Amino acid sequence: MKLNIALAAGAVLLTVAATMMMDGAGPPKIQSVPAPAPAYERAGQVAPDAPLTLRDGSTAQLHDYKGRVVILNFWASWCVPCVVEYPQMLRLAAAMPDELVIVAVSVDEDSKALDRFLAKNGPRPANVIIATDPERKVTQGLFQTVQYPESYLIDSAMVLREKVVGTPPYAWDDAAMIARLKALR
Amino acid sequence: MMRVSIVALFMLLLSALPARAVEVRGTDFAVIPVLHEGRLKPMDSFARALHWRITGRQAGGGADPWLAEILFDPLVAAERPQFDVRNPELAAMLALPQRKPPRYSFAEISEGLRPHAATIGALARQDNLSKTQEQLLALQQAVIDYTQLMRSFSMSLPLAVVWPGAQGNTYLDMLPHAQAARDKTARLARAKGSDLTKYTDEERATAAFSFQMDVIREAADGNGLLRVIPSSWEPGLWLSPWAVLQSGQGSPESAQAMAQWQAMARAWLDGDQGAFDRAATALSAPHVTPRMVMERAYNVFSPLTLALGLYGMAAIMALLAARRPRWMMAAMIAAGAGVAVHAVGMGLRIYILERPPVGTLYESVLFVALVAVATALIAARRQPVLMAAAAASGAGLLFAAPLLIRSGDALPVLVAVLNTNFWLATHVIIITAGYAFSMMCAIAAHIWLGARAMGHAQSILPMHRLGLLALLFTTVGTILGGIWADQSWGRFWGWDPKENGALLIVLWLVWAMHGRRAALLSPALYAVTLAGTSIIVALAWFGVNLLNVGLHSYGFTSGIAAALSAFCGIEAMVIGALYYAARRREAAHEA
Repeated sequence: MKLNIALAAGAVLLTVAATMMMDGAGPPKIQSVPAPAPAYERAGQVAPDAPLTLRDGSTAQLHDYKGRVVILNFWASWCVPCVVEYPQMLRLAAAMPDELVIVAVSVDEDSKALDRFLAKNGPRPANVIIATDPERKVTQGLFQTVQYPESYLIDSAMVLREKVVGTPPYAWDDAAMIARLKALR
Repeated sequence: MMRVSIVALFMLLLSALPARAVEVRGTDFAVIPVLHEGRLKPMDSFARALHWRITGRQAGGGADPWLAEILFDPLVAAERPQFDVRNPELAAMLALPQRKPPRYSFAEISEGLRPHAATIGALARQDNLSKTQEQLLALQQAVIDYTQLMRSFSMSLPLAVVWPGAQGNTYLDMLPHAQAARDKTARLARAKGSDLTKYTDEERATAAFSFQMDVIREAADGNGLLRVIPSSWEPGLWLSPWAVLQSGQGSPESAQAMAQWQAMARAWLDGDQGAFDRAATALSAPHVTPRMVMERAYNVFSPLTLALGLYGMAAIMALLAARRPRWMMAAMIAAGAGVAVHAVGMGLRIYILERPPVGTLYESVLFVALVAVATALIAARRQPVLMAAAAASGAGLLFAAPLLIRSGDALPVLVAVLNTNFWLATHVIIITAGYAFSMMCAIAAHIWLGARAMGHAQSILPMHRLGLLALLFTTVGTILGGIWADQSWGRFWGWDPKENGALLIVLWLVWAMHGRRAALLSPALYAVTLAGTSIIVALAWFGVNLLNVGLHSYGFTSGIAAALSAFCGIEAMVIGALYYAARRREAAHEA
């Protein structure tokens, strides 16, 4: 009998202790997926130092532009939203000549079509860099972009900070966008 | 119908390679994280759940090789018999050949389903379906899941499509050339129309390539079952490979993950064990948590199955002890070991799910089995028949519990309304323990009646004490439930079916206790009343879940009405027969 009472008391105490422990642990997770900070902000993930083939045939590395905010834009001359945002980007670059570099990586297979498009849109500010990646080794292989346009906003320390899929909700040369980019310095 | 055609076309585009065997078991493939049913779980659990859902069978030894074949070698998987169609009416409807066992491949089932696409669409919007119609819909869902799995890596698998200048023969390798081919095909169509005989060989090849790339892309629309790539941009979000590409969630990190998956697929097809292992480790290592490792251990060692076996042994040995008392110690040891293993299993579930152990009907059965056998260890130390009955009940409950698992997921997340550890750990645990004590009380009452029927004198104390314990726990549990309801829904009591069920147990036991106290019930009738608690508990525990009404309708369960009715009917007859036999024996004794 004494053993039974001791066992019952033990069970009650165990239940109380477990209850208090579980209650102290906060509500159970309906969605048990851990919710860390965005990977890049958490780890300060640096953008890959992508090799770039520039339009004039020379080569560069993405990290050559360290020290300035970089918009890494993947686009094509046959992509309608890309064509729409291209002039906005030129104006944005002109508005932030010392603080911003736009690296516009074209995936055009047809280099003549690209030339025609660039000629049609007139001269570019010096801080707009046109690179080509027809085989998409950087575009797909390094940044896994398969739809256009897509743009990465990279801060002056080359940390990936944001990704814009398609066109942004406001024009690239909008004051809000300029303020956003200045904040990345 | 269009979707089915696209899937069929996509299958034709896959390149048939003679796959060599890669050993998946024992590799890190099992702990690669996947987001499924609202929870990040190891691939091993995902594979088991999908295997169960698709084939209707549990994969005792794990389902990792089964899943790997579907993911990496869909051509072979499409021909492998996986789908059981046991209903002859359904088999005839799908024009399936007779076969033993009645197991069919994806190719056979999807071919059979094709003429019924419109019917299935209409049935999906209907209620009150026949058994065959329900099975038809379930089969359709299984085929959809299977299709999703087969297409998960269709962007990275080798295709029977060739394009000059492409870096390789996967969709992603050839994607850089797709836009140019599409533009050229559009120009050709404008210039020459759609009659391919007017095209040159090169033009035909271009048009075919453009068409094939579109087929692969369209076949992947909505493919989101295998969510194995963590988003770099939205915390907590995991995406399927195709969703990463199609939703613009790609990043350098996801590109690396996709490269590893492609390497794993290649290793599977080449039979390269080393490369497979390396890719599996690379994909799991950054994300694997101790919980996932424990979850895999829970799956592999299956403590509940072990407990079931030990309870079965305990039941047999306790029965032997009724004749030879020296077996009782062995029975107690087996039951004790079973309880220990069972408790470890429940502890692992608490750790893995980060919540108290009872949140679903399935889990309540596991808990009742544990409490019942643990109670027997204390209350039935000198009563081999009660020990045997309790252990057999524990084994029976553990055996039947998997029938209550939904969607093949034995470790489910909670419905939102249950999002509180305090009440899950108090109300739910106490009321479920009350069910267990009620069940033990009913068992003891059966044994008492049986002993009386055989002319053995027995004390009513064991069943009486268990009845009191059941009354205490169900009463406290019901009141706590009311307080939770008041906090959660703003009222203490609403005559909801679940609330009525709980109250019914309390009233039944109170009535029995008062009947005995007031000497209105003879010991035999008191035993009958307590034995009948099993019926009341079954109705309160399972019966109310059949009613899809009230605020507890989140626990709605279908398909158990017949079993429940049979249990109640048989139980009533057994109790009646035992009472009749006991009374006859008493009458004979008095005469």
